[in-house]
Amino acid sequence: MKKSTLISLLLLALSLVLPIVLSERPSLIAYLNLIMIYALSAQGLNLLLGYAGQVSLGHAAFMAIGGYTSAILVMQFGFNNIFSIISAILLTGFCGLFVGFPSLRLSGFYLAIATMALGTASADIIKRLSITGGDQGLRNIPPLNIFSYEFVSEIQKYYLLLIILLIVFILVKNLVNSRSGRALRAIRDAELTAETMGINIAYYKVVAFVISSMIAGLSGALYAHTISYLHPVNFGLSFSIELLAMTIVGGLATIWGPLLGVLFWVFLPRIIGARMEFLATAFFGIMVILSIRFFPRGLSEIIFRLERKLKLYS
Amino acid sequence: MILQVKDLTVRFGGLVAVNKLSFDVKPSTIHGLIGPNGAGKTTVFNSIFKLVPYNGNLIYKNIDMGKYPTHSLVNMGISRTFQNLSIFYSMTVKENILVGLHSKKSSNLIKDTLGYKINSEKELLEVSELLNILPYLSVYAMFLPFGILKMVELARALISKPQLILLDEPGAGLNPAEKERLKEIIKRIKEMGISVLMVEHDMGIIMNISDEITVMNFGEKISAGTPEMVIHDLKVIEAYLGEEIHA
Repeated sequence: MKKSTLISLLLLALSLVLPIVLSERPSLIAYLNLIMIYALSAQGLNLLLGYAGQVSLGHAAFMAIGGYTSAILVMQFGFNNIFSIISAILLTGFCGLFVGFPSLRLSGFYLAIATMALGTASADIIKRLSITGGDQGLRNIPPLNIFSYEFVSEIQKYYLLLIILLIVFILVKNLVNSRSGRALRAIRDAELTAETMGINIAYYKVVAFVISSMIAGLSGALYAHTISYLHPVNFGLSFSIELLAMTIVGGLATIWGPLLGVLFWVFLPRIIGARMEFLATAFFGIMVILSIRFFPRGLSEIIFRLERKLKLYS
Repeated sequence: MILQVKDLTVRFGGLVAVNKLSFDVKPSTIHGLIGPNGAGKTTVFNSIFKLVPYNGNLIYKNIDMGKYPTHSLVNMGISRTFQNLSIFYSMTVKENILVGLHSKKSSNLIKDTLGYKINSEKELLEVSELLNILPYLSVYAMFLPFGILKMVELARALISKPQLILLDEPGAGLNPAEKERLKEIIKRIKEMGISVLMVEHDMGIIMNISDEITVMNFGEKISAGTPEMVIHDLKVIEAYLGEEIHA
């Protein structure tokens, strides 16, 4: 067996054992659950920005749309969770399609502004609607219930989220290494050349937005049923920027980068300590600058270097 | 004719980059397009690929190309290389070449996401052997020297098995040995039944392997014919060559 496969299996075993070891500290497991939810969203952004080269400052809005859709369908219309989550994914995919069209004419800074408008507008709209609970938010959202099995405890939620996270990460890995993934990366590297090589730029740019927003929608739906509470403030522009920063620090265009970035972002304040927590934001900002300037693969660089060493010694 | 260029005119604001240019490319021939810098040669290539707006007609195998988008041309049987190397540097050589096969191999997002693999090994090996880049397939393009990347770019254009290939200064930046090898490769491409339309400044290459040559100056055709005819044309000598050379 390859050493890298062995390490992957060990990490998987560790992920399976971790909640049992931490069973006395459910708050820590809740943190891990939040990390997995954010990592899903960051993976969506990674697909869009890292692999397709399209920037989005409105990704938190896609999470909000997914979260509110699933919560409202369950609470107001009595949908079961399977249909509520599928509906949330489809609706955010449709919103992604709507946002994806400007990306055909805009790029870089201008695209960032356009997507930022979506982020700020959606938070405002959510605040004004009564069905979303307005400024009060939505409370007491029921936990996930799949085939009559209710995921109530943090450990139960952990295992479900872990399975979903692994499935999404594997699907994204397949996609970026496929014909479509090559097309996305070609567009990111040299758009005109990609087009002359037979790649339909408009199609792939919109597809990247749709898939990316669908993943964010799934993440939002899981957030709603895991945290049990939604408020528009949690999905504003600042969270979109934080998601972007997590993705960059973890390593753009790397499969495990989003997870590493989110882990770092969530645990950094805890590592630094409550009294010095204000330093966490500054430190994270420095990390973003360093990643952009010196380590384009962010924290994933550590994994690549480890892999290279393993290859050398195997 | 595989390609007919009829009264092609390209304007950039007030500048007429190409003015009523007409020429034909015959099947399975090498057609050279030469002229001084700024003559409009690359603009002709960009017009064929609809990267610039143009007037006139571009007819490929009796089909007016005007209504077809850029990305559909590879599927129709036309591919190209670029004057300035245009490589996907974040990809391996293998991935770079496979991009050229994008429109020839069908797949869909669901199959791609579920990990369905397209078998392109045969085409990849064929083209890599022809261009002598087999040892570099798994290497990232960013680590390779210019000469090899030129071959990678050519491989990417060839893997789709085009019927017409547009080569924009394929010899630029290559050393004498690489240029000799390039000549053999282009002749081999012609033997495979592929028509070649080539822009090149190196007279040693273009005069040696072209069947026909069109000479441009200030966007207009000033001469056309076999290499032998062109090099003795006084207008060509005056505008471009400076002195007679021997084909």
